[in-house]
Amino acid sequence: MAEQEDFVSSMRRQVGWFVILGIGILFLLLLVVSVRTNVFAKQFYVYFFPPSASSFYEGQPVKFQGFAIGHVDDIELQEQGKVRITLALLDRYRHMIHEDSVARVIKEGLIGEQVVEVTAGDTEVAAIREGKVLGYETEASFEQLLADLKPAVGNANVLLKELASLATWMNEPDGDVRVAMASLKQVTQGVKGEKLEKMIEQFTLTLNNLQQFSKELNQQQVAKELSSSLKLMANILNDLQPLSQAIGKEGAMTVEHMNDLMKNVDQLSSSLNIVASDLSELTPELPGLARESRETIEEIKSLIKALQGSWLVGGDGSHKQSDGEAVSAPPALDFRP
Amino acid sequence: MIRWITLLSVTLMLTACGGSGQKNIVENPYAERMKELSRNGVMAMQRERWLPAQNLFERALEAAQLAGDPVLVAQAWYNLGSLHLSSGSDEKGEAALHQAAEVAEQHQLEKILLRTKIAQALIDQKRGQNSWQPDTISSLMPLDIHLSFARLAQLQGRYEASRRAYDFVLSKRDADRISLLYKINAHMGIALVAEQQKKHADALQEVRVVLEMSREVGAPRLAAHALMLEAKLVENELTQEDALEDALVIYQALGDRRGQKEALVQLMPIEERKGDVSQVETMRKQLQALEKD
Repeated sequence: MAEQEDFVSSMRRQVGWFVILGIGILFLLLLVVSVRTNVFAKQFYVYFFPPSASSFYEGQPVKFQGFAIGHVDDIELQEQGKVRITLALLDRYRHMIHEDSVARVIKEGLIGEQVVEVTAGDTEVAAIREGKVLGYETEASFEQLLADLKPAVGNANVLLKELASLATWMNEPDGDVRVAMASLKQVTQGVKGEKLEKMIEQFTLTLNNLQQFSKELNQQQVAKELSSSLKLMANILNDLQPLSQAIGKEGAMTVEHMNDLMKNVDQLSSSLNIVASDLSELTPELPGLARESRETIEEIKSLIKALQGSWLVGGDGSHKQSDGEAVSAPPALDFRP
Repeated sequence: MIRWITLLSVTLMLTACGGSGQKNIVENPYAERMKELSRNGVMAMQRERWLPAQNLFERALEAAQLAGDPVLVAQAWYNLGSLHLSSGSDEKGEAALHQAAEVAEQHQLEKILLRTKIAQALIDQKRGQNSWQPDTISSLMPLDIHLSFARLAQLQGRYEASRRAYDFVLSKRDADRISLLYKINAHMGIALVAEQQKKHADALQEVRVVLEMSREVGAPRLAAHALMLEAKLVENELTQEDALEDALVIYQALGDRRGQKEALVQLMPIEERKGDVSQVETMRKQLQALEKD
């Protein structure tokens, strides 16, 4: 009987310890999670009034210098039709954020989610107060930057297409140019809907095809010029690719990088001018080429000018003053003996 | 990051506006087009592609008229005139030169006026009429004017003035294709002057220069003329025959009927002396065909 009672009390103790330990672990886990998620951290609230609530949602992270310091607590449409966003921010970061700081929406990476960013503001100004209304800044979105990039790359597409069609005169009709042209068509169609990054990648591949093709053309000077021009073009687009990624990510693009890009485009412009001039010199020699060919060359030149005038080249245009006089035809002199 | 994005945004905004802050030099697109078409026309003309050259010069004239620039209009008329004269259409050439002279006189365009006057004098000289005889040409004038003057003076029998002008053309150090072509012309001119003055050794020396430079630069018609002159200057019949045969081949390729006839006429007696009857017969038939057409 006594043995039975001992057994029961031992079991009770063990169960008791088990339950206490379980509750303790559960409590510890809750504590860790709450510390990690700042659930019980002291928060303060600030507000801002964006023109639209379309880029916001409750729980949306709020970042400061890349660190999460809070979240969007509430989105409210006020009676006057204004959108008020309430940000719940961790109190321990309050001293780093100043009264003149502003809120804005940024995108994390090329395809990352949109987050609210709070700037530090002027360090000379006092730290932000509870209930402060922040200014709201609209920043040029990446989509806008892409929209700026597209026409320039589109111009380059057209230019290359023209160059490729010109090159058909100098080569077999069933040569690599067919492949290159087909790729170019794909690229041109892609301009409308596809992501720029993918498009540039595809474009670069096409350029490589064209380069290869132009190298195989002939030993003619024009083929060499064409090849070097395309190489330059490919270099530029290779530069553009990381650039487009960098814009969306870390902003790692440097002024030097930009200058290098500009320099490359300048080189391309002058190189393409040489090609155009070589082609125009060749025109009278090429069979069956009259009006159409010259007009195509004129178009190429205008395309080059368009490229020179685009934002890629800073629009400085490098327009050179004309020499004033037109070239004079050689005199009609008959030296027949 | 914000700084970079802002910097990029500002750069994009500024560049998208196409503004470098500098004032752009405004170019009249029609004037630019006229110059471009003229350049292409001259290139076509140098290759004796008369029809494309005419087409280009006509379009250049249209562009010049649209540009509203009398200098360009006069130049375009002159280019067209020079082309017609070079291709053998003297009447059309004269009419175009008349137009050029009219505009040049009205706007006191010295160079174009001088070009047209010398060109007209050369036509008159060709017709056996009294032609204008300018004394000298200012050294500031372009090479083509000196060259034309040299040829005119030569045809007028003023060999000293002609030689001085040819030497002036040769004294220039320009090495572009057009300048080199002018120099080949000058050497050929000097060769003809020397031949007319019975200085055959000098003439032959100049002919050799013409042939060498023609091969380098690409001036087949001048090369053919030089070969014809060489055949005239050398005494060795074999060398004569070679030169004439080479000249004939070039004239045939150029479609120059007059040149072909002259080469055949000089070749036939050589072949006759050699006793190559079948060759003589073939040449006679060729000559008859050329005279018939």
